Order: sequence, then structure tokens, then C-alpha cells
Amino acid sequence: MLPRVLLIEDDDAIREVYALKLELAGFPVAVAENGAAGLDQVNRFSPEIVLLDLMMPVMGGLEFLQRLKATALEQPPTVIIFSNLSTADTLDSTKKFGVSDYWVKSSYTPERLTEELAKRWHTRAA
Amino acid sequence: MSCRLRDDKSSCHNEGHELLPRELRQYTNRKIFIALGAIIIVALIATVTSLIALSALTVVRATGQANSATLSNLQDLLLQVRTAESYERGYLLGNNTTFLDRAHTAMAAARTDLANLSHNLPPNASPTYRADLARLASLTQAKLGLMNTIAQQNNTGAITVDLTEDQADMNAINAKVASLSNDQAALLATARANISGLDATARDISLATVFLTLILAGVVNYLYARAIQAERELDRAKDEFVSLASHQLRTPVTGIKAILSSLASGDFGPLEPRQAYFVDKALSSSEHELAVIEELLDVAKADAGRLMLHAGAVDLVQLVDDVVAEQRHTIEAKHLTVKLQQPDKPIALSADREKLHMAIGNLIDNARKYTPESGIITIKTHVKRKIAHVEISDTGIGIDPGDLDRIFDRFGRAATAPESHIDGTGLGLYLAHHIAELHRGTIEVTSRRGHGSRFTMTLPIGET
Repeated sequence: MLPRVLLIEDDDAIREVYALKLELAGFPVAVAENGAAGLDQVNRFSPEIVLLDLMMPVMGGLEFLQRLKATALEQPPTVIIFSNLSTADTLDSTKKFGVSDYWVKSSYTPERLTEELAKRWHTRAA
Repeated sequence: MSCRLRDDKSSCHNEGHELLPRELRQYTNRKIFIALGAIIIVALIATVTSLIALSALTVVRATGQANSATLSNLQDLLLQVRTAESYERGYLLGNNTTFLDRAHTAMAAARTDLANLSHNLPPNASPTYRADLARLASLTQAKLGLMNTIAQQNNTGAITVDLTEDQADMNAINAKVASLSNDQAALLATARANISGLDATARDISLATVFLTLILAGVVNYLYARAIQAERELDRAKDEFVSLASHQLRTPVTGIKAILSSLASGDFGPLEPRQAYFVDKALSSSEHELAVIEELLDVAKADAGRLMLHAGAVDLVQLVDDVVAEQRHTIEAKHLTVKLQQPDKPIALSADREKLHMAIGNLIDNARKYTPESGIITIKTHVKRKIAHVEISDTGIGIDPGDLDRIFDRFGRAATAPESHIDGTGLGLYLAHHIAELHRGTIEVTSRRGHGSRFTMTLPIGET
């Protein structure tokens, strides 16, 4: 059984094509176009993995992390930063919220992402 | 105009007359130089003034000492004159010749004192003083002569000398010596007052110098703190720009690449062969564009001194194997032969794997680009004296000796490159060189036009 994945991404093309690939690979998927919509989806969809972009309108990724932490969920999702922003400062900022997975979006394809997510989930389950 | 990266989106806005960090830094640096210049000028003025005051003090002290010695001699002279006068009066009253002898002895001593005074004149001796001494010497000499005459007449029993006139001469000598003593006492008092004044001036100069230096040092410290702050602002602005640029440049291509990748893998249904061919071409182009963007961003970071290493354990042998495996397809497509000569054991380094991968990849890719079909690329790795070596040799077009110095410069391509219609940004070697240096390593090249090139990267074992 593959985990529920919430993809929070403001770029329509990227969001749609990655969501499609994840669905085709068998992942239950929900999407959100910014951090605020992402928080709603966390409550409704209870994702096990959140793929989080950082630079988004309305509410960015860092504020999302801050509010998610404040929510104090019983089973908080595993957050993976999936962004084209890759500076040492943002890396440090996300680490402060306990997020250590930082995947640079431009290095990935939908295929590689689904493969790595599946591999990671199976390794964790084992 | 300044840009700030916020959590959600970037924003740019005008800030009127506010200085940009670079301008602020230059402005502050100018002020620091001016303040430092002021400190140096104050110190010079204080030094010169102190030296002048010290010199004047030395002169005045010497004069004072001379005045003091002169006064002491004059007081001795006065004592001798008064002694002579007393004995002479005693002789005249009692007609005791012993008194006359003693008066003569005292007067002779007075003459010696006068000779000493004339010989040791103080530096500030006035012409009047000199004339008075001469007059006194003359009077003393006359007085001694008169005393001799009195003594002789006394022996014969008939004194014809006018003793009243003699007493008047003695009074005149006495008065003149007393007057000279008073003058010297006045001069000594003046010298002492001058010494005291100069002492106070020197103390005031020292205090003013210390005070001014402290104020200027405070100004320099404040300006230096501002310059440091401006430098940090500038660094932050550079970081923000690079991060903003990287995000904005990567995002559209990332979308294109994602869509093409999905198309290529059949997520939207099977593609016809011609469609698959062109989707593959488009995907390669998007990946190439992303690689160029990454290269440009790394150059921007390198220029800003912000290209950082994320060091970890790296096996150089495995890394070279990986790079060659990645590029083997494109190398063989050009009908080139790759000769890989690596040791059986790993070469363990502490290095940034991703950046080292890029640097070695750039060197091998250059060998591929600049070697005509059917050529040979030889890649060797070995360790010598705790230094790892990666040698990449080719049988390509080579580099003119005049170009060897500038091929590691930004956009510095060899003259043979454009002539051969070979694409390139001129940034690959610049970055490779920068990355090697960040690892405390080097890159060297030997080449001859028409006879290939050999690039050697050295990396210290166990260091970053």
C-alpha cells in the first residue's frame, strides 16, 4: 500500500503533471496551490507525505511549516521540500522545523520522483 | 531600487535616496580613510608641537640654570665686596694692618669672581650686563690699586689718600654688584615662569592629543562597524539575488522538463515513433538548458564568493566511473575511444561530491567536444604523496600556448574553439578550476595545437 501524498505547488503545469504521474504510479494524491490550501488538505486528506514547494503566493512553504507545527497533529506527515529554491539559508530554515529532506525540483522528473518516493516508503516500512 | 526575498514571493520597490549596500560601503570607506587621515595629521601636529615645546623647554631650562649659576656667583661677589668693605672700615677705624690685608684678600677674591662671571656669561646676557661687568672689573682693579697705596703709605706713616673718595668707590662697587644680583634674580624668576608655562603647554598638548585621538578612534570604529554592516547587507543582497534568479530561471524549464518526461514515458498515452523522437530531443534540450542555468548560477555564486562546499566521504574512483558512465553514450556516439585507467582500491576524499562530479564532468566533456571523431580520451586516476590526481588526456585539436593562461578565466575560450565551430559557454573550466581550489586542489594543463591536451586535477586526500 502506497502512502497518501499531498503535493503543494503553485505552478499549474508542474502540479498537474506530477499529480498525474503519482496517481498512475498508484499513490493516493491530493493537491494544493499554496500553503493555506495545503493546511486545509492536511485536515481533510490526512496525508502521510507532503511534497512542499517554498515560494508560493498567499502562504509560502516556511509559513506552512510553522503553522503545521503549531497544529500539533497526532500523526504529522513526513514533509519533503520540493523546491527550486536551494540556498543554505532556506535549508537551515526548514531544518529548524525538523525537515531534513530537501529535493531540488529541477533535478527531478515525475518518473524519478515517484520511484524515489516508493523506494523511500518501502525502506521505511521494512 | 532593492529586492527582498520574502517567504512567498519576491518583491522589488524603490527606496528613494537610500544608499545601496555597495554605495554605502564605498561612502563609509571614504569616511574611514578621511578619519584615519585626520588621526595621522593630529598625531603629526601633536608630535611636532611636542618636539618644539620640548626643545624650547630644554633651552629655557639651560638658560635658567645659567642664570641661577650667575646669580650664585654674583652673590659670592657681593659677599666678597662687603667683606672687603668691612675690613677696610675696621682698618680705618683701628689702623690695624691685618684688617687691610684681609680687605685686600677679599677684594682679590672679588676680582677672581668677576673674571669667572665674565667668562661664563648666561645665554640671555644683555649688552648692558656685559658693560656693567666690565665697569665693575675696572672699579675693582682700581680699588685694589688704592688698597695697595694705602698699605704702602701706612708703612711710611703718612696717608695722603682721600679716604672719603675711597669709601665712595667702595659704595659704588657694592651698589653695582647688588644691582646686577637683582637683575639676575629677576631673569631667573622669568626663566622659572617660562619653564612652568611650557610645562603646562606640553601637558595641555598631550591631553588634547589623547582626547582628539580617542574621538577620532571612536569615529573610525563607528564607521568600520557601518562598513561591516554594509558588507553583510551586500552579501545578503547577493544571496537573495542568486536565490531569486535560480528559482525564477529553474521553474519554467522544470515544468517543461516534467511535461516532456511524462510524455516520453507514455503517461498521456503511447507516442508514435516520430513524436517520441522529437519529445526526446525536446527533453534533452530542456535538460541542457537546466544544466546551463545551473552553470551560470554557480558562476554567479563563485563570483560572489558564495559557492560553498558540502563535504562528505567520496570515493574518487567511483566518482570518475560514474561520470564516464554518464558520458559514455555521447562519447561513443562520436566514435571516440575511452581508455579508463583506475586503481583497484578506492581513493577516499572528503569532498563535495556533486561539485566534484560537475568539475570532472566538465573536463571529460571538453575532451569529447574538442577531439575529432575516432580520437582517444584517456582518463587516469592515481595517488602520489597523499595527493589524488585525475588526468584527462585527449588527441584533440589542442590549445595555442598563448591561450593557456586564459582558458580558466570566465568566458575565456581558446582561439581554436570558435574556429572549430564548437559550442561552449567558456564557463566549464572556470568553474572546474574554482571547484578544485575550493577543495585546496589545482588544475593544470599541458597542450600543443594539433596534438591534444592533458588536464590534471589534483586533490588533497582527506581534506576539503
